[in-house]
Amino acid sequence: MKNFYFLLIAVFFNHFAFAQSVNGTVTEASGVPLPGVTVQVLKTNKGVTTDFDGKYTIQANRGDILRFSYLGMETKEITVGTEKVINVTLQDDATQLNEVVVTAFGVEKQTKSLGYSVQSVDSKDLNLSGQNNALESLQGRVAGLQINRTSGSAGGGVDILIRGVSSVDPGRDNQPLIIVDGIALNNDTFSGNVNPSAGSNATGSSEQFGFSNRAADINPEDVESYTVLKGAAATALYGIRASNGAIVITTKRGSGGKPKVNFNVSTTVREVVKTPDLQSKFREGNRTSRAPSAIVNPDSETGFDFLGGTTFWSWGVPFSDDSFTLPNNTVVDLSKDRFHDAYDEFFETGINSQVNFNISGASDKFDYFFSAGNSHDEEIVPNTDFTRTNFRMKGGYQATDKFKISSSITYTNSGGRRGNGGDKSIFSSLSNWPTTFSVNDYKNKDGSQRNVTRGIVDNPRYFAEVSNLEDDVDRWIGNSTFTWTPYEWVTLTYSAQIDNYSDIRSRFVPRDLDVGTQVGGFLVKENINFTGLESNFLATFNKEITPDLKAFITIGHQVSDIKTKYSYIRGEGLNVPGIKDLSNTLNTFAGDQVTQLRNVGVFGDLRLEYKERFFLTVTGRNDWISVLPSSNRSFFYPSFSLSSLVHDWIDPQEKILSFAKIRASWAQVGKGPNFGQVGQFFIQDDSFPFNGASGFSASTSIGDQKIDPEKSNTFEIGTDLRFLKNRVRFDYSYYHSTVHDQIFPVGAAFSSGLSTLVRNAGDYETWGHELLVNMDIFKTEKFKWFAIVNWSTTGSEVTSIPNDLDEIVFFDDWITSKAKVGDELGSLYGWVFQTAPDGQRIVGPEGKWIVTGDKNEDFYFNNGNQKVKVGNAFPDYVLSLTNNFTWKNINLNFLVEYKSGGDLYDRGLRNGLRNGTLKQTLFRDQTTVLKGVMSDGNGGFVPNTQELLVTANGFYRDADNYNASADVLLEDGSWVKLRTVGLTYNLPKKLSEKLKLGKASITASANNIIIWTAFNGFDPEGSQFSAGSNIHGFTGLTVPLTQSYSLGLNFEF
Amino acid sequence: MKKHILSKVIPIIVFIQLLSGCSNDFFDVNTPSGSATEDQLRMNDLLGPAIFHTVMAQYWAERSFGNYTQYFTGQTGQAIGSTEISGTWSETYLRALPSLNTILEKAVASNSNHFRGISKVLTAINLGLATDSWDAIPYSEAASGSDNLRPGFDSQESIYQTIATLLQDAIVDLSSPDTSGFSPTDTDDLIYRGDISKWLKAAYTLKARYELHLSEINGTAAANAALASLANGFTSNADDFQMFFTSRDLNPWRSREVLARNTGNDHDKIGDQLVNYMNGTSYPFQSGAITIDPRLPIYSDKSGDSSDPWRGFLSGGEGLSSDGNSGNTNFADNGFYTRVDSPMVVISYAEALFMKAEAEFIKNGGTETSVGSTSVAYNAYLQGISANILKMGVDATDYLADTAIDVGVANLKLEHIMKEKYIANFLNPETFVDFRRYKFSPNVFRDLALPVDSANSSEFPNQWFVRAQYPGSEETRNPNNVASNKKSPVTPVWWDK
Repeated sequence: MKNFYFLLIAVFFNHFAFAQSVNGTVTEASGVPLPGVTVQVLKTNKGVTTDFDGKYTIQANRGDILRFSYLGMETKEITVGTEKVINVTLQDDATQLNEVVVTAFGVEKQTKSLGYSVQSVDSKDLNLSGQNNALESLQGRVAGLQINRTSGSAGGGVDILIRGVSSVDPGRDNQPLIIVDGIALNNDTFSGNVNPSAGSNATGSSEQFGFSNRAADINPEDVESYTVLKGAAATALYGIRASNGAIVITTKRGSGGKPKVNFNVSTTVREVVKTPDLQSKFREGNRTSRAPSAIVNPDSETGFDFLGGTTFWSWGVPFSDDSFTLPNNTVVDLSKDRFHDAYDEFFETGINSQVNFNISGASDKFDYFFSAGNSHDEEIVPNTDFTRTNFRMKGGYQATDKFKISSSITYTNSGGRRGNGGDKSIFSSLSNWPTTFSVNDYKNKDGSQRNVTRGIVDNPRYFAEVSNLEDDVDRWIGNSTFTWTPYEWVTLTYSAQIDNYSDIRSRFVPRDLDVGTQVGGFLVKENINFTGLESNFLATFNKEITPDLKAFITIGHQVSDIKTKYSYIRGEGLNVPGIKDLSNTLNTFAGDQVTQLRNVGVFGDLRLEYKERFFLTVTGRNDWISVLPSSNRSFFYPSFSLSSLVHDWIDPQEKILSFAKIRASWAQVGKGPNFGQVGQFFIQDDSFPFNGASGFSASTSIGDQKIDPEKSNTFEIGTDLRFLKNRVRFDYSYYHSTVHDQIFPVGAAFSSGLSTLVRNAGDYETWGHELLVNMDIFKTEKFKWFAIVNWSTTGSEVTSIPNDLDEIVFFDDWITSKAKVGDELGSLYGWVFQTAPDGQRIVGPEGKWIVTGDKNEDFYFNNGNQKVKVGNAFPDYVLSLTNNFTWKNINLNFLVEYKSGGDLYDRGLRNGLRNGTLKQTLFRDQTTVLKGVMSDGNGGFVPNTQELLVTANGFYRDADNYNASADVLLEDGSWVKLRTVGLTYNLPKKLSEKLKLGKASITASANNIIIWTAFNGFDPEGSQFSAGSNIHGFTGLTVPLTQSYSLGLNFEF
Repeated sequence: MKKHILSKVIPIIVFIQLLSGCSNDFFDVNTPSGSATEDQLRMNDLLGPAIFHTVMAQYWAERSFGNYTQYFTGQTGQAIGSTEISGTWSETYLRALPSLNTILEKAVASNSNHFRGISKVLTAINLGLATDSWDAIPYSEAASGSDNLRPGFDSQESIYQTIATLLQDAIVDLSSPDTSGFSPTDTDDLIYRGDISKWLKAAYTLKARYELHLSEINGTAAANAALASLANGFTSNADDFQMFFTSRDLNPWRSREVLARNTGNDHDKIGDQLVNYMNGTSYPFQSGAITIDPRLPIYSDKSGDSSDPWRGFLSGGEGLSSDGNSGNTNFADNGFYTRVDSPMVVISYAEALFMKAEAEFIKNGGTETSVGSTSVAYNAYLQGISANILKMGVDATDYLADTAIDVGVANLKLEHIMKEKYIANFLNPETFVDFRRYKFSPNVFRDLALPVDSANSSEFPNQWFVRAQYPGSEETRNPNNVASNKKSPVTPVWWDK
């Protein structure tokens, strides 16, 4: 420490003696001050940025060269003389030749030199009010990037796919690597296990709780910009962990001038976007006799008068009927029963309130940024909420001209109370609930569940009120970066980071909910502790070999050590009802699990520039990973990329074509198996300890000891064309990836004693087009209008899978997600109605359609039905349009997004059809002639003329002839959405100065408010499975997506 | 200045050397926590799961076979179609046999004859259930892991020889003292708590079971062989081969039949065939002292009005009972078989006695329709009933005294023995073997009839299902071997001539 002070003092005197303070204002040609301009003293690491008034102050010696650079402006260099004030005017850069983007390891590279596609988004262009997940705000902003909320709950996970899925293994995640300020940040979605030991038909945790992906811990307000590295060439230096692409986040940092304080508050109101349409005509009643089984009686103990039978179905008489005569001739009064839309009544209005504060500043020695933020949601599902609190401190210190230290430390606390989805959940109960009875009438006088279905369906409101899952995450991330520039052409950078979080979860289920019945209620406590250590070393060398030929070399070394410790205690058999403590349980189950991944990589990157026209980059990386057997642990992969500027050949005057670049790249990247997959181990048997005995048995899955890393080769070409002084820009890419030796658990014949063998198996290809169009439609001082169009497609084909496997099943339900050779990834299979050769549905002798697929010729006593391909979960293309208008102090922007294609199975749909609650079942107890053809008796077909009486059992509940068909169950999930719209008013400078504010603005924005879709259920963007799951195409039993309206105030002083 | 640079560069180089891919120890973190190697484990550590999964294989089989034998129907009275009992296949091949092989290897290596014998008894039980269910099955090439991912199948005939050899070897192993120092204990032996003499009796009794299974192949010789084995078999209910569940680890029948019913989930109903045997319908009670078998309320709860008669669910009868009214028999909420801590019985003293009665009956020249037998057969029949009723914890006096039961040695018919064995072996897939051995004959199983809706079945109208199909996963992953052994579900297995 003594040395540190000494250093400080020495440095201080050093500068006092020789340096002078230079200040000034940087403006645009129009005279408007330019904030955020980088001012650097050349040949040193000294640098500041201008404040919001365009002002800067920097220490410089006489003779030093000051460089002023700003994105989109021509860089200017001025030699310091005797003057103390240097005012600078920067011109628009006509060619944008010097535009830079952040690439792997935070290295800024000139856009023109890149041989692959990279797309950036500045957070100032996003409407952040009410956004909880920093990554969610990228929706629709980047071609080839798909971001989906898995659930409408505020803490719900966000699933990210860059260029579609890259793994055919249903158990493998396809999430990109998230990099913050050059260092990887954990973005796992941890599901755990929150089910009881016995008798639960409930689905796995991944399907139930839509857990947060851990990038949710980033405060969106701390982010300066996002850069999406899409292809393998872009991420080559990151190695295996970026095999699904990478999102590079740069956070805000302090810039020059006096300390700046920013304060913003916002309030957001959320509502469910859309819910399934219900029929309101027919009441609860038996599906054959139509007799009501219960009528509402608020005065009774249970809230209902039970008349016999099972109250469950809505196949009764119309609500308009005032009475019903039961078989025993009792007449019951129905006049008081009314229709209740379960969805309308169940969901509440969600409210989010956010407060964010930050203070930042810089001198030529120090820069600092401190922020604090809080976001709290009361959610749409009763009794659920989510809160996130962030603190972040980031600072840099220029110790000497050649040595700089910067550090940041972040603390996040997040979590809340979550309601569940999937089967046997709040949402399956909601889809089964009879609409004659209000879900909100849920409690008896003694506090027990009021349940008209006698427990067959849980009351969804009661479920939400008494049973939820609480999670509480504490996360610390600390890192430091040392930059040393011993010579002008050498920079050495070392960074290290510790990322640590603990997630403590607790789930309570009382004995009177289906899930808890078998074990007499239960309580699960889970403890997840993650520690990620990262170490990056980077050395860069810039060398001008000849004036025409420049070389840039980067070599680096990276170590990561990721460890997740998980333990749980589950108590079953609640003794005293309602006491949520493990000491109140009769049987205790406990377990723990540690997973650890280690990765060491060395890499190099050589970039050659010839005449600032041709750019060649060659990279190589060697990785060693702990998940592979030691003999195959080390592997190497290269990449090559090439780009060339061509505009001056085509249009030397640059009259129309102001910039043109063509680019091509080829890259390889490897990927290893999951933790613990290689080898075979004896583990505690699933059913043990049992009756006092502990017991071990061999795991039934074994990993090939000779497994190799899988390799994917990606070829990409593209062009960047800009016209009319850069006012119109087209950036187009096409990529094609081939994955060889996919690592995959192949099913083994059980008779071998094994269920799966993890080995190299299967090849597939993916490809796609991406187009970005930027247009500066108006660009005057008073009025600016720019528009951005993003368009992308993805295609894929499974080219081979192991012989002993004819398909890879991702998820099996009435609709199955699976892939066979020749299929696209995301293919969905289902039974279909039998059709005549001309494609018309065949109507059988009963007057009904017939559910069947291809005849199975294999064996005569199977029922002959096989599922056939009926759709694909992934969209054909995604198109988005952003418009941004600025007129004086007012900014208006909106984003419209269109997803074409992408089929979905709503897993609540079949419940509603069978129970007679959905609008589709309104047509009933009437005859109709189904559309289609019938047999003419001679092997041919004639138009159907047979009448059919449409009833519950005879039609809607009939799986053989109706509700098992994919024609009924699978829907087109295409949509057009007004994703965001925002209106900001910036207080005029005069007024804000009067109020002693630097800046003040008010923003009204709305998200996800308008959706046009043919899909019947909730917003089709929601997904049944947690973020990071590789299963797509299923929705319905999950917290639906919301629309939101925000009002925010922002002050700066 | 030079020195200054070096002082920074050297530590960096050293650091890189330390962390780069040279050290294998650094990467040796890929072993799941809590896992063990084979060497670390004692035979005792492997025995519990080996027993547990052997017993569970039987549970999954009975979930289907109990419907075939009309102990129960689906919840709306439905009779099931062809079955794969894939649960049994997984329990046996994925779980039980690999553990048993490991125990056997260790027992051979350590010359622990008691563990060796137990491993063989358990292997025989697994093979017996599997071959009786599927006919030809993998064994000689099975459960050898990645050495053979597509095991070939062995014929049922050879499997029966294997079972006989395994049990004979087990008898030798279990008869002699074990000097190896390794032995099963009270905690890990979930069946006999370390009592080797009971394992020995079990080996004999099981041997008798599989000998008697060959009654259609070997005729009277099968009966004689079984009688010889039974002489050293079980001697009381305390010898029963059964595994108890606990309030922490629920009996799966309770879970499936009672708890699932309470929450509107899939469950079964007690069948009309069984209820009619127990409520005086098929065999009217004569004494007036009883109206039902005292075991009926132990097996079943009756819903509706308490004065209603017991009405079982007709197989394929859409919820109706044989008297035309709706069935009213659920699995008993706290019956012998459906408590949280109920045992799952693999083979019992009562079954041994019924085997003895049947074998004596056959040995004495008895046929499906013949009347009268020896007093040895008759006494075994009565003792079997008595043993089972005692096990159920109710009073047998009135039942045993009723002339519907106490028919007298001169009136004893095969159907009496098999009816009582049917009742005593409730929820035991052994009954499916008995049904097949006697061709579902109403002469042996009075009033037995095909499921009501069998005639309308699109699959196999008017035919009994007599085997299980190989599971779909095996068919996909071991296609050639399955294809060459696959037969229709109405084709009898080898011993079922």
